Amino acid sequence: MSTLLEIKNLTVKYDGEENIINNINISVGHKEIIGIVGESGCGKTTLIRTIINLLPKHASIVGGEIIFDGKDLCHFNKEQWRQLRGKEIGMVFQNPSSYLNPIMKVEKQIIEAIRNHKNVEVKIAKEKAKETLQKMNLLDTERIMNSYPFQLSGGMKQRVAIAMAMVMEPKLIIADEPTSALDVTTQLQITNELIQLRDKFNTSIIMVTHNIGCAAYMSDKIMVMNNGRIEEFAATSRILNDPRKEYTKQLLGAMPKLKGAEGW
Amino acid sequence: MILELNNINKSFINNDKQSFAAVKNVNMHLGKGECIGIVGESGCGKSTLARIICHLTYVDNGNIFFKGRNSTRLKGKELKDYYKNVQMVFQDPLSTFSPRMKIGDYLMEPFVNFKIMGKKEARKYVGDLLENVGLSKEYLNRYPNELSGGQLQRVVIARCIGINPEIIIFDEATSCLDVSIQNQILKLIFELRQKSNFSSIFITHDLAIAENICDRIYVMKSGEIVEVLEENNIVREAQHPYTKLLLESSLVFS
Ligand SMILES: Nc1ncnc2c1ncn2[C@@H]1O[C@H](COP(=O)(O)OP(=O)(O)OP(=O)(O)O)[C@@H](O)[C@H]1O
Ligand SMILES: Nc1ncnc2c1ncn2[C@@H]1O[C@H](COP(=O)(O)OP(=O)(O)OP(=O)(O)O)[C@@H](O)[C@H]1O
Ligand SMILES: [Mg+2]
Ligand SMILES: [Mg+2]
Repeated sequence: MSTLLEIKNLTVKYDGEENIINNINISVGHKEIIGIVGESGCGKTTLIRTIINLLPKHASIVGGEIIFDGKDLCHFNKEQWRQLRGKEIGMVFQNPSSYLNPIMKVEKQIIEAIRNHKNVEVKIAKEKAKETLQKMNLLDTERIMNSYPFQLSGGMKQRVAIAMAMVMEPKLIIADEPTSALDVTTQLQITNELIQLRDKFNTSIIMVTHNIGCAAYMSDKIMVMNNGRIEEFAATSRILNDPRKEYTKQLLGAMPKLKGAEGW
Repeated sequence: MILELNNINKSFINNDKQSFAAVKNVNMHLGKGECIGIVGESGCGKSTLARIICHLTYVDNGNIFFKGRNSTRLKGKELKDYYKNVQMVFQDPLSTFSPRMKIGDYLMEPFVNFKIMGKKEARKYVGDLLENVGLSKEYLNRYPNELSGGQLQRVVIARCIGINPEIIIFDEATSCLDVSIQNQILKLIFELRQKSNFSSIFITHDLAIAENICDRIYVMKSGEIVEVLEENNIVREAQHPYTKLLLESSLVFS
């Protein structure tokens, strides 16, 4: 498998604090799905924001390299980032409401996102938007397109955000707990849609999740993070069947289970 | 009985002027010290129902009884007292913070406002609250955007618990926490419930958690309650096709 994203010796800190991300090395192949799990506050969001150059002002990369599709991202200028984000790298943030435009209807937001990168007619963009929302199990599509974000439920906003990341069929999707607030049936459907996107367009996916079951279901590899470092990073079945670090064992052991689930 | 909902209905008028029913004929009851769960499809009306209970949205029709009194319409002091006694942890933690208010001030606000304690005492108290949810006192001096998603969520939980209300509604309050911290928070809630006997409503998509901590689970779909589970064993008890569908999906992930 050829490499799409390569992170070498990455270290990141916020001003006046210790390193939050500590010497991280990862490579993500084309078509590969990586699940990232780890304790609240261990640096998952910081890592993702570093990759897409959206760290706050008072944070800095202490050292390391980020290579995407053969290009060194650390030296990209504003215009290059504008081209890359959305079109080649799709993003879903942990709190979608703060990234959706509160005063623009969903329809317009998605259509603009498409037309920013692709020279298509509004009508075609609208069809594409509808189709993608339906894949997110947003079946009441007309009403949702015609709504402002505040008129949608938490999980509906999450799904609009996922649709906006998927609609461009990017090379890489980076998603920070995209399904954390969704009922399990919808979660399963969206996970399957992401897998299909991967199969169809060779999209690679990096997904932060607290749902180890979900990580296990969709990822080729799982990365377990703790305190800004990688605890272990290996094929999903290896992590599940033969966890080597205490922390990983703890995470796996703490998963809540249904009482009657045996024998189903 | 601390809370009773009778035939609650709520519609929104859409931008194309059509009416959309978000909550339909909901009946629900919550006993003193009980913990009930609400599970259901994304967009089925759970948060709307929670906001109705908290008096953050009006009901169209139906009645809310709080400690036996009809509390459907409240104002003035009664409403203020109600707000103090019925607290909610919102689904989206960031939305409850103002960006320029430090965590310490956010936590102290209700205690100072409701004149429960003086500033100095409040500061010590909220420091302890933070430690209860696994965060060090240092976070008191930070701004909201300097915390991770799960850390913020825990700050909101700490504040709600600290106010010592009679009812707390947790709206997906632990879904952005990793399993070990999630367990720690659930344990904390459980201990506090035993101590101060507050009642709680747990909105969650995690059936295993609901089964573990709730005395009764309401399953919602498209604004309606389709099934009530009371036996603490969802697999055995589920009858409604939608509950079964939820179960099937959740077993795929386990
Ligand atoms: N802007 C900031 N300034 C200073 N410290 C920060 C800032 N943002 C985050 N931190 C700290 O960095 C650490 C990592 O935060 P991050 O958001 O990356 O965690 P996370 O793994 O995504 O956690 P969660 O699962 O709770 O979302 C946390 O301890 C947090 O308090
Ligand atoms: N202010 C509003 N104006 C118009 N419609 C609204 C408004 N608030 C909610 N709705 C609609 O009401 C329905 C129920 O929303 P609610 O937030 O209660 O769902 P939920 O069950 O909490 O979903 P989730 O699990 O995704 O958080 C949704 O279809 C939503 O679009
Ligand atoms: Mg995070
Ligand atoms: Mg909700």
